[in-house]
Amino acid sequence: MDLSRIFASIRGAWKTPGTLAVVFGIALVGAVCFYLFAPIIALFFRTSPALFLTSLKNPVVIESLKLSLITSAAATLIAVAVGTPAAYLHSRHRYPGKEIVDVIIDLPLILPPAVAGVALLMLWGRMGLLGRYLNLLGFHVAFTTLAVVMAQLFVASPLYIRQAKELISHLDRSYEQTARTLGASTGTVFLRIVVPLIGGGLISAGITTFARALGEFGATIMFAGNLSGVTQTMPLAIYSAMQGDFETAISISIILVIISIAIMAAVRLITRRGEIHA
Amino acid sequence: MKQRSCKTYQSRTAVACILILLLVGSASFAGCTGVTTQAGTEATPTLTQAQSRTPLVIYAAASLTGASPVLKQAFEKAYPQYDVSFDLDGTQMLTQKIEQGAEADVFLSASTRYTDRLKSGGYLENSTVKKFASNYIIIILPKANTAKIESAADLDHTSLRIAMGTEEVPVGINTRQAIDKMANTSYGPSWKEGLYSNVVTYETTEPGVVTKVNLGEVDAGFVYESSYKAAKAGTLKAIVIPKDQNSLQTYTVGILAKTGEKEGASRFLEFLTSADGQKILADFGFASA
Repeated sequence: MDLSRIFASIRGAWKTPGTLAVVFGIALVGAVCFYLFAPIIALFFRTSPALFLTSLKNPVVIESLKLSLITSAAATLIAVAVGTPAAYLHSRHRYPGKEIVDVIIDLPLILPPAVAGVALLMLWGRMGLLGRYLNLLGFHVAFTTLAVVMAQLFVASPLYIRQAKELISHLDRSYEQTARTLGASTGTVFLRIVVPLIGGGLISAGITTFARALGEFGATIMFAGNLSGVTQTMPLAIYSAMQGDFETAISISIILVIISIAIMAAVRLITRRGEIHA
Repeated sequence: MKQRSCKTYQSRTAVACILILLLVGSASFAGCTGVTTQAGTEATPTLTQAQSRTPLVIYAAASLTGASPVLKQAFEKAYPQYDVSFDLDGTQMLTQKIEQGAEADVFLSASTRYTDRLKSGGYLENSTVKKFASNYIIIILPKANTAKIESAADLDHTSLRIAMGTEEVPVGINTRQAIDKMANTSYGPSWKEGLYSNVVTYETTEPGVVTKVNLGEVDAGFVYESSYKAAKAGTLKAIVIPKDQNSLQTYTVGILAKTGEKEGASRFLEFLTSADGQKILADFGFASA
Protein backbone atom coordinates (compact mmCIF):
# COMPACT_ATOMS: atom_id res chain seq x y z
CA MET A 1 0.00 0.00 0.00
CA ASP A 2 2.16 2.90 -1.10
CA LEU A 3 0.72 6.37 -1.22
CA SER A 4 1.44 7.16 -4.88
CA ARG A 5 -0.69 4.21 -5.96
CA ILE A 6 -3.52 5.33 -3.73
CA PHE A 7 -3.34 8.84 -5.15
CA ALA A 8 -3.22 7.42 -8.67
CA SER A 9 -6.32 5.38 -8.05
CA ILE A 10 -8.08 8.39 -6.58
CA ARG A 11 -7.10 10.43 -9.67
CA GLY A 12 -8.33 7.61 -11.84
CA ALA A 13 -11.60 7.45 -10.00
CA TRP A 14 -12.05 11.17 -10.39
CA LYS A 15 -12.14 10.79 -14.17
CA THR A 16 -14.63 7.97 -14.29
CA PRO A 17 -18.30 8.78 -14.26
CA GLY A 18 -19.95 8.67 -10.86
CA THR A 19 -16.90 10.05 -9.08
CA LEU A 20 -18.95 12.81 -7.59
CA ALA A 21 -21.25 10.17 -6.13
CA VAL A 22 -18.27 8.41 -4.58
CA VAL A 23 -16.93 11.62 -3.04
CA PHE A 24 -20.39 12.49 -1.80
CA GLY A 25 -20.76 9.01 -0.35
CA ILE A 26 -17.43 9.20 1.49
CA ALA A 27 -18.32 12.63 2.89
CA LEU A 28 -21.71 11.41 4.02
CA VAL A 29 -20.41 8.27 5.71
CA GLY A 30 -17.58 10.31 7.22
CA ALA A 31 -20.06 12.80 8.64
CA VAL A 32 -22.12 10.00 10.15
CA CYS A 33 -19.03 8.41 11.72
CA PHE A 34 -17.81 11.72 13.07
CA TYR A 35 -21.16 12.56 14.59
CA LEU A 36 -21.52 9.16 16.24
CA PHE A 37 -17.97 8.53 17.33
CA ALA A 38 -16.45 11.96 18.11
CA PRO A 39 -18.33 12.35 21.45
CA ILE A 40 -16.95 9.00 22.59
CA ILE A 41 -13.41 10.07 21.67
CA ALA A 42 -13.98 13.37 23.53
CA LEU A 43 -14.60 11.41 26.75
CA PHE A 44 -10.97 10.30 26.72
CA PHE A 45 -9.66 13.86 26.32
CA ARG A 46 -11.04 15.12 29.62
CA THR A 47 -9.07 12.69 31.74
CA SER A 48 -5.59 11.26 31.98
CA PRO A 49 -4.56 7.60 32.34
CA ALA A 50 -3.30 8.34 35.86
CA LEU A 51 -6.59 9.97 36.91
CA PHE A 52 -8.54 7.15 35.32
CA LEU A 53 -6.55 4.51 37.17
CA THR A 54 -6.92 6.28 40.54
CA SER A 55 -10.67 6.62 40.05
CA LEU A 56 -10.83 2.86 39.53
CA LYS A 57 -10.01 2.58 43.24
CA ASN A 58 -12.92 4.88 44.12
CA PRO A 59 -15.50 2.79 46.06
CA VAL A 60 -18.35 4.42 44.09
CA VAL A 61 -16.85 3.09 40.85
CA ILE A 62 -16.11 -0.38 42.23
CA GLU A 63 -19.51 -0.79 43.88
CA SER A 64 -21.47 0.42 40.88
CA LEU A 65 -19.44 -1.76 38.52
CA LYS A 66 -19.97 -4.82 40.68
CA LEU A 67 -23.67 -4.10 41.13
CA SER A 68 -24.18 -3.41 37.42
CA LEU A 69 -22.47 -6.62 36.33
CA ILE A 70 -24.33 -8.78 38.86
CA THR A 71 -27.79 -7.33 38.23
CA SER A 72 -27.41 -7.29 34.44
CA ALA A 73 -26.18 -10.88 34.49
CA ALA A 74 -29.15 -11.90 36.66
CA ALA A 75 -31.62 -10.11 34.38
CA THR A 76 -30.05 -11.73 31.32
CA LEU A 77 -30.12 -15.22 32.84
CA ILE A 78 -33.79 -14.86 33.73
CA ALA A 79 -34.56 -13.52 30.25
CA VAL A 80 -32.75 -16.47 28.64
CA ALA A 81 -34.15 -19.15 30.96
CA VAL A 82 -37.77 -17.98 30.69
CA GLY A 83 -37.66 -16.21 27.36
CA THR A 84 -36.21 -19.00 25.21
CA PRO A 85 -38.87 -21.68 25.89
CA ALA A 86 -41.57 -19.00 25.89
CA ALA A 87 -40.40 -17.74 22.49
CA TYR A 88 -40.28 -21.33 21.20
CA LEU A 89 -43.78 -22.26 22.33
CA HIS A 90 -45.12 -18.93 21.13
CA SER A 91 -43.52 -19.23 17.69
CA ARG A 92 -44.42 -22.87 17.06
CA HIS A 93 -48.08 -22.70 17.97
CA ARG A 94 -51.10 -20.87 16.72
CA TYR A 95 -53.43 -19.68 19.42
CA PRO A 96 -56.05 -17.01 19.85
CA GLY A 97 -54.57 -13.69 20.93
CA LYS A 98 -51.14 -14.51 19.56
CA GLU A 99 -50.85 -11.10 17.94
CA ILE A 100 -51.76 -9.42 21.21
CA VAL A 101 -48.94 -11.33 22.90
CA ASP A 102 -46.59 -10.03 20.18
CA VAL A 103 -47.65 -6.48 20.93
CA ILE A 104 -47.24 -7.01 24.70
CA ILE A 105 -43.72 -8.34 24.17
CA ASP A 106 -42.76 -5.44 21.91
CA LEU A 107 -44.32 -2.69 24.01
CA PRO A 108 -41.49 -2.21 26.55
CA LEU A 109 -39.08 -1.76 23.62
CA ILE A 110 -40.76 1.43 22.49
CA LEU A 111 -41.92 2.59 25.91
CA PRO A 112 -39.76 5.36 27.41
CA PRO A 113 -37.86 3.82 30.37
CA ALA A 114 -39.15 6.60 32.64
CA VAL A 115 -42.68 5.33 31.95
CA ALA A 116 -41.51 1.82 32.79
CA GLY A 117 -40.13 3.09 36.11
CA VAL A 118 -43.36 4.79 37.14
CA ALA A 119 -45.41 1.80 35.95
CA LEU A 120 -43.30 -0.70 37.89
CA LEU A 121 -43.68 1.46 40.99
CA MET A 122 -47.45 1.57 40.54
CA LEU A 123 -47.59 -2.24 40.44
CA TRP A 124 -44.82 -3.36 42.79
CA GLY A 125 -44.37 -0.25 44.98
CA ARG A 126 -45.39 -0.36 48.61
CA MET A 127 -48.74 1.24 47.77
CA GLY A 128 -48.87 -0.46 44.38
CA LEU A 129 -51.54 -2.83 43.05
CA LEU A 130 -49.56 -5.96 44.00
CA GLY A 131 -46.93 -4.36 46.19
CA ARG A 132 -49.40 -3.52 48.95
CA TYR A 133 -50.13 -7.22 49.47
CA LEU A 134 -46.44 -8.12 49.40
CA ASN A 135 -45.93 -5.35 51.95
CA LEU A 136 -48.44 -7.01 54.27
CA LEU A 137 -46.29 -10.14 54.09
CA GLY A 138 -43.29 -8.01 55.02
CA PHE A 139 -41.80 -8.26 51.55
CA HIS A 140 -40.44 -5.12 49.87
CA VAL A 141 -39.63 -4.99 46.21
CA ALA A 142 -39.19 -1.30 45.34
CA PHE A 143 -35.87 0.34 46.28
CA THR A 144 -34.01 -2.96 46.61
CA THR A 145 -31.42 -4.70 44.46
CA LEU A 146 -34.24 -6.96 43.28
CA ALA A 147 -35.98 -3.86 41.90
CA VAL A 148 -32.88 -3.09 39.84
CA VAL A 149 -33.03 -6.58 38.27
CA MET A 150 -36.77 -6.22 37.69
CA ALA A 151 -36.35 -2.86 35.96
CA GLN A 152 -33.59 -4.27 33.77
CA LEU A 153 -35.62 -7.37 33.00
CA PHE A 154 -38.62 -5.25 32.05
CA VAL A 155 -36.75 -3.12 29.53
CA ALA A 156 -34.25 -5.71 28.25
CA SER A 157 -36.06 -9.07 28.09
CA PRO A 158 -38.31 -8.07 25.15
CA LEU A 159 -35.12 -7.54 23.17
CA TYR A 160 -34.09 -11.13 23.85
CA ILE A 161 -37.51 -12.69 23.26
CA ARG A 162 -37.87 -10.80 20.03
CA GLN A 163 -34.54 -12.08 18.71
CA ALA A 164 -35.29 -15.62 19.92
CA LYS A 165 -38.65 -15.54 18.11
CA GLU A 166 -36.90 -14.40 14.96
CA LEU A 167 -34.32 -17.18 15.17
CA ILE A 168 -36.94 -19.86 15.78
CA SER A 169 -39.19 -18.70 12.96
CA HIS A 170 -36.28 -19.00 10.51
CA LEU A 171 -35.47 -22.50 11.73
CA ASP A 172 -36.46 -25.34 9.38
CA ARG A 173 -39.22 -27.32 11.06
CA SER A 174 -38.21 -30.61 9.44
CA TYR A 175 -35.52 -31.28 12.08
CA GLU A 176 -38.09 -31.00 14.85
CA GLN A 177 -40.62 -33.08 12.93
CA THR A 178 -38.06 -35.84 12.35
CA ALA A 179 -37.21 -35.93 16.04
CA ARG A 180 -40.90 -36.04 16.82
CA THR A 181 -41.52 -39.01 14.57
CA LEU A 182 -38.68 -40.76 16.40
CA GLY A 183 -40.62 -40.23 19.63
CA ALA A 184 -38.93 -37.20 21.18
CA SER A 185 -41.00 -35.07 23.56
CA THR A 186 -41.42 -31.29 23.17
CA GLY A 187 -38.89 -30.72 25.92
CA THR A 188 -36.32 -33.01 24.30
CA VAL A 189 -36.87 -31.45 20.87
CA PHE A 190 -36.42 -27.99 22.37
CA LEU A 191 -33.29 -28.79 24.36
CA ARG A 192 -31.57 -31.25 21.98
CA ILE A 193 -32.58 -29.89 18.56
CA VAL A 194 -33.75 -26.27 18.70
CA VAL A 195 -31.36 -24.81 21.26
CA PRO A 196 -28.18 -26.31 19.71
CA LEU A 197 -29.21 -25.22 16.20
CA ILE A 198 -29.78 -21.58 17.14
CA GLY A 199 -27.35 -21.50 20.08
CA GLY A 200 -24.98 -18.95 18.52
CA GLY A 201 -27.83 -16.60 17.74
CA LEU A 202 -29.27 -17.02 21.23
CA ILE A 203 -25.91 -16.20 22.80
CA SER A 204 -25.54 -13.02 20.77
CA ALA A 205 -29.15 -12.13 21.64
CA GLY A 206 -28.26 -12.72 25.29
CA ILE A 207 -25.23 -10.45 25.02
CA THR A 208 -27.21 -7.58 23.51
CA THR A 209 -29.80 -8.09 26.23
CA PHE A 210 -27.04 -7.86 28.83
CA ALA A 211 -25.85 -4.64 27.20
CA ARG A 212 -29.33 -3.14 27.31
CA ALA A 213 -29.69 -4.14 30.98
CA LEU A 214 -26.29 -2.63 31.76
CA GLY A 215 -27.37 0.68 30.25
CA GLU A 216 -30.72 0.86 32.03
CA PHE A 217 -31.19 4.20 33.77
CA GLY A 218 -34.67 5.72 33.77
CA ALA A 219 -36.67 2.80 35.10
CA THR A 220 -34.00 1.96 37.68
CA ILE A 221 -33.69 5.41 39.26
CA MET A 222 -37.47 5.65 39.59
CA PHE A 223 -38.27 2.15 40.74
CA ALA A 224 -35.10 1.12 42.58
CA GLY A 225 -33.80 4.45 43.86
CA ASN A 226 -30.22 5.62 44.04
CA LEU A 227 -28.30 3.98 46.88
CA SER A 228 -24.63 3.23 46.50
CA GLY A 229 -23.84 -0.49 46.66
CA VAL A 230 -27.53 -1.48 46.69
CA THR A 231 -29.29 0.11 43.75
CA GLN A 232 -26.81 2.57 42.26
CA THR A 233 -25.78 0.95 38.98
CA MET A 234 -23.14 2.48 36.70
CA PRO A 235 -25.49 4.77 34.74
CA LEU A 236 -26.95 6.04 38.03
CA ALA A 237 -23.45 6.51 39.44
CA ILE A 238 -22.57 8.60 36.37
CA TYR A 239 -25.66 10.74 36.87
CA SER A 240 -24.93 11.23 40.57
CA ALA A 241 -21.22 11.86 40.04
CA MET A 242 -21.96 14.55 37.45
CA GLN A 243 -23.41 16.59 40.31
CA GLY A 244 -20.16 16.69 42.21
CA ASP A 245 -17.19 14.66 41.14
CA PHE A 246 -16.88 15.20 37.43
CA GLU A 247 -13.80 12.95 37.06
CA THR A 248 -15.61 9.93 38.46
CA ALA A 249 -18.45 10.41 35.98
CA ILE A 250 -15.95 10.37 33.10
CA SER A 251 -14.13 7.31 34.46
CA ILE A 252 -17.34 5.29 34.81
CA SER A 253 -18.38 6.40 31.32
CA ILE A 254 -15.07 5.16 29.93
CA ILE A 255 -15.50 1.80 31.66
CA LEU A 256 -18.94 1.51 30.08
CA VAL A 257 -17.55 2.41 26.65
CA ILE A 258 -14.92 -0.31 27.01
CA ILE A 259 -17.53 -2.85 28.10
CA SER A 260 -19.79 -1.86 25.19
CA ILE A 261 -16.98 -2.29 22.67
CA ALA A 262 -16.12 -5.68 24.18
CA ILE A 263 -19.79 -6.67 23.91
CA MET A 264 -19.93 -5.70 20.24
CA ALA A 265 -16.74 -7.59 19.52
CA ALA A 266 -18.15 -10.67 21.24
CA VAL A 267 -21.37 -10.51 19.23
CA ARG A 268 -19.43 -10.12 15.97
CA LEU A 269 -17.21 -13.05 16.83
CA ILE A 270 -20.11 -15.32 17.72
CA THR A 271 -22.27 -14.44 14.71
CA ARG A 272 -19.31 -14.86 12.33
CA ARG A 273 -18.51 -18.27 13.75
CA GLY A 274 -22.19 -19.14 13.34
CA GLU A 275 -22.03 -18.21 9.67
CA ILE A 276 -19.07 -20.47 9.05
CA HIS A 277 -20.85 -23.41 10.62
CA ALA A 278 -24.02 -22.83 8.64
CA MET B 1 -55.04 -15.87 -2.54
CA LYS B 2 -54.54 -12.49 -4.07
CA GLN B 3 -57.88 -11.36 -2.82
CA ARG B 4 -57.06 -12.54 0.67
CA SER B 5 -53.79 -10.69 0.83
CA CYS B 6 -55.61 -7.67 -0.49
CA LYS B 7 -58.13 -8.03 2.28
CA THR B 8 -55.49 -8.32 5.01
CA TYR B 9 -53.77 -5.34 3.47
CA GLN B 10 -57.00 -3.39 3.68
CA SER B 11 -57.64 -4.42 7.27
CA ARG B 12 -54.10 -3.44 8.22
CA THR B 13 -54.58 -0.05 6.62
CA ALA B 14 -57.79 0.30 8.57
CA VAL B 15 -56.07 -0.55 11.84
CA ALA B 16 -53.25 1.85 11.05
CA CYS B 17 -55.78 4.58 10.27
CA ILE B 18 -57.55 4.00 13.58
CA LEU B 19 -54.26 4.16 15.45
CA ILE B 20 -53.26 7.38 13.72
CA LEU B 21 -56.68 8.85 14.49
CA LEU B 22 -56.19 7.89 18.14
CA LEU B 23 -52.78 9.59 18.18
CA VAL B 24 -54.11 12.73 16.54
CA GLY B 25 -57.10 12.65 18.88
CA SER B 26 -54.97 12.40 22.00
CA ALA B 27 -52.66 15.12 20.72
CA SER B 28 -55.54 17.50 20.05
CA PHE B 29 -57.05 16.58 23.40
CA ALA B 30 -53.81 17.50 25.10
CA GLY B 31 -53.74 20.68 23.04
CA CYS B 32 -57.29 21.54 24.10
CA THR B 33 -56.63 21.02 27.79
CA GLY B 34 -53.49 23.10 27.42
CA VAL B 35 -55.50 25.93 25.95
CA THR B 36 -58.16 25.79 28.63
CA THR B 37 -55.70 25.84 31.52
CA GLN B 38 -53.89 28.71 29.89
CA ALA B 39 -57.08 30.63 29.39
CA GLY B 40 -58.07 29.85 32.94
CA THR B 41 -54.89 31.13 34.54
CA GLU B 42 -53.73 33.85 32.20
CA ALA B 43 -55.27 36.98 30.83
CA THR B 44 -55.27 35.61 27.25
CA PRO B 45 -52.24 37.21 25.65
CA THR B 46 -52.82 38.39 22.11
CA LEU B 47 -50.86 36.94 19.25
CA THR B 48 -48.87 40.11 18.56
CA GLN B 49 -47.82 40.23 22.19
CA ALA B 50 -46.68 36.65 22.08
CA GLN B 51 -44.55 37.35 19.04
CA SER B 52 -42.72 40.35 20.46
CA ARG B 53 -42.11 38.95 23.95
CA THR B 54 -38.50 38.63 25.04
CA PRO B 55 -37.56 35.25 26.43
CA LEU B 56 -36.16 35.21 29.97
CA VAL B 57 -34.58 31.97 31.12
CA ILE B 58 -34.52 31.34 34.86
CA TYR B 59 -32.46 28.51 36.32
CA ALA B 60 -34.17 27.72 39.61
CA ALA B 61 -33.65 25.27 42.46
CA ALA B 62 -36.08 22.35 42.21
CA SER B 63 -37.56 23.21 45.62
CA LEU B 64 -39.07 26.27 43.88
CA THR B 65 -41.08 24.02 41.53
CA GLY B 66 -44.42 24.81 43.19
CA ALA B 67 -43.85 28.55 43.31
CA SER B 68 -42.39 28.89 39.81
CA PRO B 69 -45.59 29.02 37.71
CA VAL B 70 -47.13 31.59 40.06
CA LEU B 71 -43.97 33.70 39.97
CA LYS B 72 -44.00 33.49 36.18
CA GLN B 73 -47.62 34.52 35.95
CA ALA B 74 -47.29 37.46 38.33
CA PHE B 75 -44.08 38.69 36.72
CA GLU B 76 -45.49 38.43 33.20
CA LYS B 77 -48.59 40.30 34.32
CA ALA B 78 -46.43 43.15 35.59
CA TYR B 79 -44.07 42.99 32.61
CA PRO B 80 -46.00 41.57 29.64
CA GLN B 81 -43.02 42.09 27.32
CA TYR B 82 -41.22 39.09 28.87
CA ASP B 83 -41.76 35.39 28.36
CA VAL B 84 -40.37 33.64 31.43
CA SER B 85 -39.33 30.01 31.34
CA PHE B 86 -37.98 28.00 34.26
CA ASP B 87 -35.42 25.23 34.23
CA LEU B 88 -35.99 23.48 37.55
CA ASP B 89 -33.35 21.08 38.80
CA GLY B 90 -31.14 20.43 41.81
CA THR B 91 -28.97 23.53 42.39
CA GLN B 92 -25.87 21.37 41.97
CA MET B 93 -27.11 20.32 38.49
CA LEU B 94 -27.89 23.92 37.50
CA THR B 95 -24.41 24.95 38.64
CA GLN B 96 -22.89 22.17 36.56
CA LYS B 97 -24.94 23.19 33.51
CA ILE B 98 -23.91 26.84 33.83
CA GLU B 99 -20.25 25.86 34.14
CA GLN B 100 -20.65 23.74 31.01
CA GLY B 101 -21.87 26.77 29.09
CA ALA B 102 -25.65 26.68 29.42
CA GLU B 103 -27.22 30.03 28.66
CA ALA B 104 -29.58 31.52 31.18
CA ASP B 105 -30.42 34.94 32.52
CA VAL B 106 -31.15 34.44 36.22
CA PHE B 107 -29.91 31.86 38.75
CA LEU B 108 -32.08 31.03 41.78
CA SER B 109 -29.95 28.96 44.12
CA ALA B 110 -30.98 26.96 47.17
CA SER B 111 -27.45 26.90 48.52
CA THR B 112 -24.79 29.54 49.03
CA ARG B 113 -22.20 26.82 48.37
CA TYR B 114 -23.09 26.76 44.67
CA THR B 115 -23.72 30.50 44.41
CA ASP B 116 -20.23 31.11 45.79
CA ARG B 117 -18.78 28.57 43.39
CA LEU B 118 -20.34 30.35 40.40
CA LYS B 119 -19.31 33.74 41.79
CA SER B 120 -15.67 32.77 42.07
CA GLY B 121 -15.82 31.16 38.64
CA GLY B 122 -16.94 34.44 37.10
CA TYR B 123 -20.32 33.10 35.97
CA LEU B 124 -22.41 35.61 37.93
CA GLU B 125 -22.63 39.38 38.08
CA ASN B 126 -21.37 39.28 41.65
CA SER B 127 -22.79 42.68 42.62
CA THR B 128 -26.33 41.50 41.82
CA VAL B 129 -26.29 38.46 44.12
CA LYS B 130 -28.64 38.72 47.08
CA LYS B 131 -30.67 36.61 49.47
CA PHE B 132 -34.38 36.23 48.76
CA ALA B 133 -35.72 33.44 50.97
CA SER B 134 -34.82 30.89 53.59
CA ASN B 135 -35.94 27.47 54.63
CA TYR B 136 -35.53 24.95 57.44
CA ILE B 137 -35.41 21.17 57.21
CA ILE B 138 -38.47 19.22 58.33
CA ILE B 139 -39.20 15.49 58.55
CA ILE B 140 -42.30 14.49 56.60
CA LEU B 141 -44.24 11.24 56.92
CA PRO B 142 -46.98 9.75 54.73
CA LYS B 143 -50.47 10.54 55.97
CA ALA B 144 -51.08 6.91 56.98
CA ASN B 145 -47.82 6.74 58.98
CA THR B 146 -47.98 2.95 59.06
CA ALA B 147 -44.51 2.88 60.62
CA LYS B 148 -46.00 4.78 63.62
CA ILE B 149 -43.18 7.30 63.84
CA GLU B 150 -43.81 9.62 66.79
CA SER B 151 -40.64 11.67 66.90
CA ALA B 152 -37.20 12.03 65.35
CA ALA B 153 -35.94 9.60 68.00
CA ASP B 154 -37.84 6.79 66.21
CA LEU B 155 -35.97 7.19 62.94
CA ASP B 156 -33.31 4.62 63.86
CA HIS B 157 -35.86 1.82 64.33
CA THR B 158 -35.02 -1.17 62.18
CA SER B 159 -36.97 -1.88 58.97
CA LEU B 160 -37.90 1.77 58.46
CA ARG B 161 -37.44 3.22 54.99
CA ILE B 162 -36.13 6.75 54.73
CA ALA B 163 -35.48 9.06 51.75
CA MET B 164 -33.17 12.07 51.72
CA GLY B 165 -31.16 14.19 49.30
CA THR B 166 -27.73 13.25 48.00
CA GLU B 167 -24.61 14.79 49.52
CA GLU B 168 -24.54 17.33 46.69
CA VAL B 169 -28.12 18.61 46.48
CA PRO B 170 -28.72 21.56 48.87
CA VAL B 171 -31.49 19.81 50.76
CA GLY B 172 -29.12 16.90 51.35
CA ILE B 173 -26.37 19.18 52.64
CA ASN B 174 -28.75 20.76 55.17
CA THR B 175 -30.27 17.41 56.10
CA ARG B 176 -26.84 16.08 57.06
CA GLN B 177 -26.10 19.19 59.10
CA ALA B 178 -29.38 18.90 60.97
CA ILE B 179 -28.88 15.17 61.61
CA ASP B 180 -25.39 15.87 62.96
CA LYS B 181 -26.75 18.50 65.33
CA MET B 182 -29.58 16.24 66.49
CA ALA B 183 -27.14 13.38 67.07
CA ASN B 184 -24.72 15.60 68.99
CA THR B 185 -27.30 17.29 71.21
CA SER B 186 -29.98 14.65 71.78
CA TYR B 187 -29.90 11.25 70.15
CA GLY B 188 -26.27 10.11 69.97
CA PRO B 189 -24.09 8.48 67.30
CA SER B 190 -25.81 5.08 67.27
CA TRP B 191 -29.11 6.81 66.42
CA LYS B 192 -27.41 8.54 63.53
CA GLU B 193 -25.92 5.27 62.33
CA GLY B 194 -29.29 3.51 62.55
CA LEU B 195 -31.00 6.36 60.71
CA TYR B 196 -28.53 6.24 57.81
CA SER B 197 -28.82 2.47 57.54
CA ASN B 198 -32.57 3.02 57.00
CA VAL B 199 -32.03 5.26 53.98
CA VAL B 200 -33.23 3.44 50.86
CA THR B 201 -32.76 6.23 48.33
CA TYR B 202 -30.72 9.39 47.95
CA GLU B 203 -32.66 11.72 45.69
CA THR B 204 -31.03 14.33 43.46
CA THR B 205 -33.77 16.92 44.02
CA GLU B 206 -35.87 17.98 46.98
CA PRO B 207 -39.23 17.30 45.25
CA GLY B 208 -37.91 13.79 44.56
CA VAL B 209 -37.91 13.14 48.32
CA VAL B 210 -41.39 14.64 48.70
CA THR B 211 -42.75 12.35 45.96
CA LYS B 212 -41.33 9.21 47.58
CA VAL B 213 -43.06 10.12 50.86
CA ASN B 214 -46.28 11.16 49.12
CA LEU B 215 -46.44 7.81 47.32
CA GLY B 216 -45.99 6.07 50.65
CA GLU B 217 -42.90 4.31 49.30
CA VAL B 218 -40.85 5.48 52.27
CA ASP B 219 -41.79 6.02 55.91
CA ALA B 220 -40.04 9.35 56.31
CA GLY B 221 -38.18 11.95 54.30
CA PHE B 222 -36.07 15.01 55.02
CA VAL B 223 -37.33 18.00 53.02
CA TYR B 224 -37.74 21.76 53.31
CA GLU B 225 -40.44 23.25 55.51
CA SER B 226 -41.79 25.03 52.44
CA SER B 227 -42.73 21.71 50.83
CA TYR B 228 -44.71 20.68 53.89
CA LYS B 229 -46.43 24.04 54.24
CA ALA B 230 -47.33 24.15 50.55
CA ALA B 231 -48.57 20.54 50.46
CA LYS B 232 -52.32 20.00 50.27
CA ALA B 233 -53.67 19.92 53.82
CA GLY B 234 -53.87 16.41 55.27
CA THR B 235 -51.66 14.76 52.65
CA LEU B 236 -48.56 14.64 54.85
CA LYS B 237 -47.60 14.48 58.50
CA ALA B 238 -44.55 16.27 59.82
CA ILE B 239 -42.06 16.22 62.66
CA VAL B 240 -40.62 19.66 63.29
CA ILE B 241 -36.91 19.85 64.07
CA PRO B 242 -36.21 22.50 66.74
CA LYS B 243 -34.42 25.58 65.40
CA ASP B 244 -31.29 25.02 67.51
CA GLN B 245 -30.89 21.54 66.00
CA ASN B 246 -31.87 22.61 62.51
CA SER B 247 -29.91 23.94 59.57
CA LEU B 248 -31.06 27.14 57.88
CA GLN B 249 -30.93 27.18 54.09
CA THR B 250 -30.54 30.55 52.42
CA TYR B 251 -31.78 31.08 48.88
CA THR B 252 -29.81 33.50 46.74
CA VAL B 253 -30.49 35.02 43.36
CA GLY B 254 -28.02 36.41 40.86
CA ILE B 255 -27.83 37.59 37.26
CA LEU B 256 -25.64 35.53 34.99
CA ALA B 257 -22.55 37.28 33.65
CA LYS B 258 -23.29 36.18 30.10
CA THR B 259 -26.96 37.18 30.03
CA GLY B 260 -28.14 38.95 26.91
CA GLU B 261 -31.14 40.34 28.76
CA LYS B 262 -29.72 42.28 31.69
CA GLU B 263 -32.71 44.60 31.94
CA GLY B 264 -35.26 41.82 32.14
CA ALA B 265 -33.06 39.86 34.53
CA SER B 266 -32.73 42.76 36.96
CA ARG B 267 -36.49 43.37 36.73
CA PHE B 268 -37.08 39.77 37.71
CA LEU B 269 -34.62 40.11 40.57
CA GLU B 270 -36.40 43.25 41.80
CA PHE B 271 -39.74 41.52 41.50
CA LEU B 272 -38.54 38.53 43.49
CA THR B 273 -37.46 40.69 46.43
CA SER B 274 -40.47 43.03 46.15
CA ALA B 275 -43.52 42.72 48.40
CA ASP B 276 -45.40 40.90 45.61
CA GLY B 277 -42.66 38.36 45.01
CA GLN B 278 -42.11 37.78 48.72
CA LYS B 279 -45.86 37.27 49.20
CA ILE B 280 -45.88 34.48 46.62
CA LEU B 281 -42.85 32.82 48.22
CA ALA B 282 -44.50 33.09 51.65
CA ASP B 283 -47.64 31.45 50.21
CA PHE B 284 -45.44 28.51 49.21
CA GLY B 285 -44.00 28.20 52.68
CA PHE B 286 -40.70 30.02 52.23
CA ALA B 287 -39.45 32.20 55.06
CA SER B 288 -38.01 35.61 54.26
CA ALA B 289 -34.25 35.85 53.98
